[in-house]
Amino acid sequence: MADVANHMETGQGTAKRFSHAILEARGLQKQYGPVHAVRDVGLTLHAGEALALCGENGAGKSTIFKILAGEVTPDGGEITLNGDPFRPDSAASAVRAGVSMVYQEFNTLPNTSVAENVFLGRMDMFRRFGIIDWTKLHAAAQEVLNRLGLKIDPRASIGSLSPSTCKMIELARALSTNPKVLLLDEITASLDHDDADTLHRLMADLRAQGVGILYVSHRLQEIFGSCTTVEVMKDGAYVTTRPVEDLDESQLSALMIGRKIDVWERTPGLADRPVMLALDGLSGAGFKDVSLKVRRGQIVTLAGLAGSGADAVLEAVFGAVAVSKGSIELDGKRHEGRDIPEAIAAGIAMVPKERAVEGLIDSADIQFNIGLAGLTRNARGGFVDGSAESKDAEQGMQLFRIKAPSAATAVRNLSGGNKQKVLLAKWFLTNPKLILLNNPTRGVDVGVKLEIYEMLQKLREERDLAVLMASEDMAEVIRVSDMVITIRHGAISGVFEGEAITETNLINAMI
Amino acid sequence: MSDMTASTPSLRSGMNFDRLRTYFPFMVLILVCIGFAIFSDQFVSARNLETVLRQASVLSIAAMGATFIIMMASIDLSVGSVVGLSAVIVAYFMQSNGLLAAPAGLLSGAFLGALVGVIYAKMKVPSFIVTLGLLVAGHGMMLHITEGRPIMIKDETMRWIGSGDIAGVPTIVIVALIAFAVAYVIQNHTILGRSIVAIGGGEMVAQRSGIRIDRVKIGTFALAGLYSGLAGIVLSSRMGAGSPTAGTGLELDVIAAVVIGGTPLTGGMGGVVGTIIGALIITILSNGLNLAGVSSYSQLIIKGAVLIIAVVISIDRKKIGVIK
Repeated sequence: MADVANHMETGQGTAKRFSHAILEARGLQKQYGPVHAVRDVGLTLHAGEALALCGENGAGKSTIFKILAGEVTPDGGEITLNGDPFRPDSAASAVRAGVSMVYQEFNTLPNTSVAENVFLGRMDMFRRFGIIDWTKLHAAAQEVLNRLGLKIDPRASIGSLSPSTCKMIELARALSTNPKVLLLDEITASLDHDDADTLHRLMADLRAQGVGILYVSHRLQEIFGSCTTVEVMKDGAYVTTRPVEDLDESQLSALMIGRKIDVWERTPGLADRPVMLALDGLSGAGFKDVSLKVRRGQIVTLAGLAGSGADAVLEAVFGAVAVSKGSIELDGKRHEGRDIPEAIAAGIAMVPKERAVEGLIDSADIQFNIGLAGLTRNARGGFVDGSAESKDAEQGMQLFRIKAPSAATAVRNLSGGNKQKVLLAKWFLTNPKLILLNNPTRGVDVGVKLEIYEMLQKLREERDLAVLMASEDMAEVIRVSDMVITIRHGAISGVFEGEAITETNLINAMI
Repeated sequence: MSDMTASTPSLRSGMNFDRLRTYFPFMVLILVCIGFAIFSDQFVSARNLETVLRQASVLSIAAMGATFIIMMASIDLSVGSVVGLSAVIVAYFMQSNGLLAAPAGLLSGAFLGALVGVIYAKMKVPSFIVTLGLLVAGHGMMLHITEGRPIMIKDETMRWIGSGDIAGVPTIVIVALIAFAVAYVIQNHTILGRSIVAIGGGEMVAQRSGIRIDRVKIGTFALAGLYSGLAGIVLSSRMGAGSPTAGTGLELDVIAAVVIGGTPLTGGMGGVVGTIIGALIITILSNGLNLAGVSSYSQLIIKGAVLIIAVVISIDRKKIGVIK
């Protein structure tokens, strides 16, 4: 209740700064199975206001956006747009009502022209006698592109443009609908520096014209630069709303985390352990001059925003992408492995990020999947030792507490959490000296997450295993790492150990 | 989270579908046999049983090789020509070299298979295009070697393989059984077998698990070529000649046998046990239709329909994004 009162109070505060509210949402609810994605969240967006929705991953920001954009139907709550009830049942109906969204994911079609993408789904506007009037279409597209200051030919093919420009075309698409409310979800994650500047200038223009903007970004600096108001969410619930002038970055971070994170018992004396992996000036596509050491029994995490190059470093150590410069030393010996089979033979395992594509074969059973990594370990002369393979599978199922009727259960019949455990078992069973974990708890619920952390802790102690991890889950990074190395634009931007591993420190080094 | 609620029903239907895929070939075989036993009094006889088994051996040997390729989610349209070419090459060399010519059939098959594998794996040309090209080119080679006329085989041992028997069991059936045993062991007990299933189930997963994809692809096509070569030898021994039309149209029967046997075109599942059943079904179908007096024109229509129905039933739709 205190939160609500607080909201009302600040709501009145902001009302003085802006003329009138365009969009008001009260008591929004959305539940997915047992999970409350959003519970009793409200917001008020005024004409000319830029409201940043802030919170950790999973706080419910995207759900709110999707509700407002007509992608998701809320389980409860009311929304009004200019005082009228607003219940969009599709993205198209939200757009017609004046609410347009630019999504986090890419939404352009590669083999079509810029103009067609700007007016995607609305080409009917240019239809005359059943035929598209291309001249009119191109002229209309040119006009929108000019508003954005984009110097692109409307006839150009999307395939020839940079990802940043594609994102700007999605922005052009949203603008061309003349929205009263514009929703921008992590748009700057895909924009280069110049386009981000253009966007922020445009935001100021739109606000002057009375458009309301809802904004989500992990880059807190941007929020302070371009937004007027901040609303904080946590675990699907409303926390507070403040004018940006009343906050600084660290206060905002503290509000987002909402609590002091319980500190993971970090293993002492790791600095004296022998070095298992040493990278020296490693460079390749997406990363440059990366030098680091991982000791036996130590968990080192590479933390960076999506596309920072942290993934690429892991891929390079595993032999999945080429190294152009620098060296990899494993257990005191230079590792010359140029491909995955050689990396596995040298004692390196890697749990990949995309479980469905890179991790497990869905149609095959647990035993097949666990045995698949480094097939030669249970084979002699090309023949597989079936009983050794089945022992491995049993051991993996026990070790990771995989819930399945038997090792002959097809992976596709398991829950997401159990699939992830099979994936971990698959790689731990190769008895690696070094394990590379790329987002090892991606897409699993909190309970399984904690279980996986526990196993990880146990295994690295028992087996004196060196772990190099990459993770986009900040809570995970802070929780399990002995050392965090932040990566920004492919290069190391900071090294943090012990007490220095805090969300504020890491985020500042990452962005 | 949303897939949590959605996964319950699909999980159940998925399990039923897997089970159906396993038992389907046996059910069809029994139904087909019962059907023909009712419609034709000649169908159930020792003589006809032997005919069916002899006819099924060439098809099943070629289909075992193709099973590996389809399990890998690739396709081989060249089977008919590679089998025919092997038959023609054996007959050709047998004129001067006698029985020593038989290995030439195996080698030609394995060589062509490896060649397809290299073009497919290294140059990234889809397997259906490479093998479609080979289907046509192979037939051209057959016409060259034979100059359009069958080359007769006079070697007695070769003729015995084709029409003789060991303790009452036709020799070619024994050859087919040995080929099956080898294929079964490769599929279930070797690294190659595991790798084939893994590539068919998910090529990226296989690659990241340390499997050398290109090598496995080339090796599998060479292995399938070896099986086609063997099928060619058996075919020439059965016909007593290397005919320029040997093996024509066999590729369709082969694919139908594999698919009816429960190996979906999407790969990653199935195996040679089902393929043997599939080959029997295809053979009995044409045998029974012949006995029932159905014209060969109508038989073609039925065969085509059976192939499509088999694919409809067996395909793994969860793996398919876009159909082209």
